[in-house]
Amino acid sequence: MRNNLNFYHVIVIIFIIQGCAPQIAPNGYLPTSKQTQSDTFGGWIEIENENEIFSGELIAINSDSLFILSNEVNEYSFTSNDKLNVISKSDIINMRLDKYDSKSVNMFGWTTVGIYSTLTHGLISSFTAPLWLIIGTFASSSQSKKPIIKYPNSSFDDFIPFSRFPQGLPDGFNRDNLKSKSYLPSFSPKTLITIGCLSPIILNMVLLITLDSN
Amino acid sequence: MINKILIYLIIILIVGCNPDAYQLANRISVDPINGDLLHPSSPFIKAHMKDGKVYVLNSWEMINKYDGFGNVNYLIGEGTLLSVNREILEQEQFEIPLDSVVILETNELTNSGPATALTLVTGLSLIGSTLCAQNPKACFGSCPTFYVNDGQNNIIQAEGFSSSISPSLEATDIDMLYNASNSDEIFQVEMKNEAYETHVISYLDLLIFPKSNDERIFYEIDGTFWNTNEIIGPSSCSINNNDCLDKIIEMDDLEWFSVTDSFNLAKKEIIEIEFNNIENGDYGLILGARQSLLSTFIFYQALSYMGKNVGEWLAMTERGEIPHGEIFNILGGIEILIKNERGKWEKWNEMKEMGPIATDIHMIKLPHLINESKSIKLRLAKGNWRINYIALASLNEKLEPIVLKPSSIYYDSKYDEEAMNLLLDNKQKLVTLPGDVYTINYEIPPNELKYEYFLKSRGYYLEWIRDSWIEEENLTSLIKMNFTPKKTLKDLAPIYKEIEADMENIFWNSKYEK
Repeated sequence: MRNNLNFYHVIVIIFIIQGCAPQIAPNGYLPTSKQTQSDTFGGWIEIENENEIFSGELIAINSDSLFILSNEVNEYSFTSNDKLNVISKSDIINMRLDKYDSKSVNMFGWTTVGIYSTLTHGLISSFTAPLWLIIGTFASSSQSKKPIIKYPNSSFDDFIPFSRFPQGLPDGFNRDNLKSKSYLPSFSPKTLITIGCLSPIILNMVLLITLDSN
Repeated sequence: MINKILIYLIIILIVGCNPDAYQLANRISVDPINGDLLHPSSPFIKAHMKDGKVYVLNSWEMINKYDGFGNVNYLIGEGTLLSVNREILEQEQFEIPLDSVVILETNELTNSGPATALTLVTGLSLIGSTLCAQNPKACFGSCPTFYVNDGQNNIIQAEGFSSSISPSLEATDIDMLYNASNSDEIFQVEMKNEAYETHVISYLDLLIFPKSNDERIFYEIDGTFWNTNEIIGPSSCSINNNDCLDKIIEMDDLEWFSVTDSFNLAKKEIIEIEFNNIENGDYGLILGARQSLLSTFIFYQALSYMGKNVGEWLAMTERGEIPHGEIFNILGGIEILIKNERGKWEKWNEMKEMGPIATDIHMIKLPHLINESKSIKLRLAKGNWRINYIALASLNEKLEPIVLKPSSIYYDSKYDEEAMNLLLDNKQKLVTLPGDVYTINYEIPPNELKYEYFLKSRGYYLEWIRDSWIEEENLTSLIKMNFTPKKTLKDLAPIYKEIEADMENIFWNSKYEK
């Protein structure tokens, strides 16, 4: 790969730093887009009010409140408990919900492998490598944002279909018996992929700086 | 090792780039009275009940039926009923009155724009990495073209490694520069990239043989060089009782060719050739020919059928996961038939060198049977070859060439040291892009004798995929082409016939020049 890629590297680093929307849900919690067709749990939501941040499964939204189910660890017994939090709409400053797993991390991996694959291209890698860097980063970044909705950009009503009970809290149901979704925490290749993606860029920049200083 | 890692990377790329894995889900959640707003093609429907339970049904439909009191709308389908904590309560065929449902929900999957963009980049990239495990000669300039002076003008005299359409098919090619004329101490070769292709050249050597005025040296398919002082032209040439002698008697602008069969592109024809004045001794058949554009057409057709998945298909064929190349084996080369001891014609050898641009001259050593029969037959697919020259050469002895490396290389009239170093270093390669022209000089050792010149090139090339090819994507036809090639050659016959007459003109006008 030729050193004339450095201009693009800088652009891509900016994209990576500013453009990504990392998933907020625990790894393995969110269904894929295909699974969401039959999944019946709420999306993962993070709510910020003046004093604290709540996160968990969106259970329901009614006229004045949101209900989210958080899995909280008891600091004395070291056991975890599901707790239904009720947050007043009027207290909410920011809110974000992830509907499903966009697999954007895999797309970053796809891009990383693509960048390395241009080693087979000889001189035309000066065209294909930046193409991978720019399109790949844009695509991954865009993909990561697809399943996200945010308040105040979107209204509270836009969040309702992604709650466990879009019809509202069922009549007479016992809030204490509500259980959160059980899932297998999965390994995220995010770190490995980021290292793999950044290493050729950083290496090239170091080389450029070294050459310049000589 | 590095090659293996790169192959693994490419495989991961192909596996990882399944766009279906990145589909987006659009959810529609409505009151049952607005059920017509739901995605009818959604494989699942969810019916949220007032008590917090939810039905998840597949193969669902809405029906209206009389229940004894009046018509009632029902949602029917097979699936599960889940509790508020989403434990399975029942699993069966359900018939749910719609008036008991609070909310209906479907989710439709749509293609991801970012994934589509990345798929296109992957396609481009894979073309750069693994293009074309299929084996035909492609369009103009499908490989570097070499222009050499014939005493008056620089004319095209050779095309390099014509069949090497992917890195794994990198090959060495030796081309005779039959009409080369040079009296200087410097022999000049102009190497051009005249198509939408990337050419990757490992080396480009000039092979020379000192020779007397009446002597010529020919290259045998098995890799040996023979000299001759006697070339015997055919006394007759006929095909279906039509004379073809004037077309093939000299290496000139006249070529013999036929048109393809209207119903089967693989249909063969036979040329009968007789020689007089054959005495005892070793003889070789001199054959000067190039391909028509039939194989180019089939190659393009295969790429078109692959459509936007061209990268994936080519990678699979290169990995041997699907059959490939059989269609070109059926079309075949030029088979040389000789009469055996029992007087029956049988195949002796086959000339397969591909390429529609420059006439390749090859020598095929014949058995002594030719001394008796004094005739040969050539069997070839109709309309697949253009034959310029046929002769017999009495063979004297095997020779070894003097190998010359380039002494200087010029690009845009400027000395190109980088290109020079790349061509001289066996571990590196010179890459050229459409419109590139390099002038390569060789220092010829002083000699009172003349020389016979051959160009020895090694490398491969990568075809660039055109937009129009992607529009013709047809998986069924591609599978037919790979698994029933004989039938495909019949199916394609009428399509090719429509353009056959104009193809040569279009081809030669499609040269890419800067």
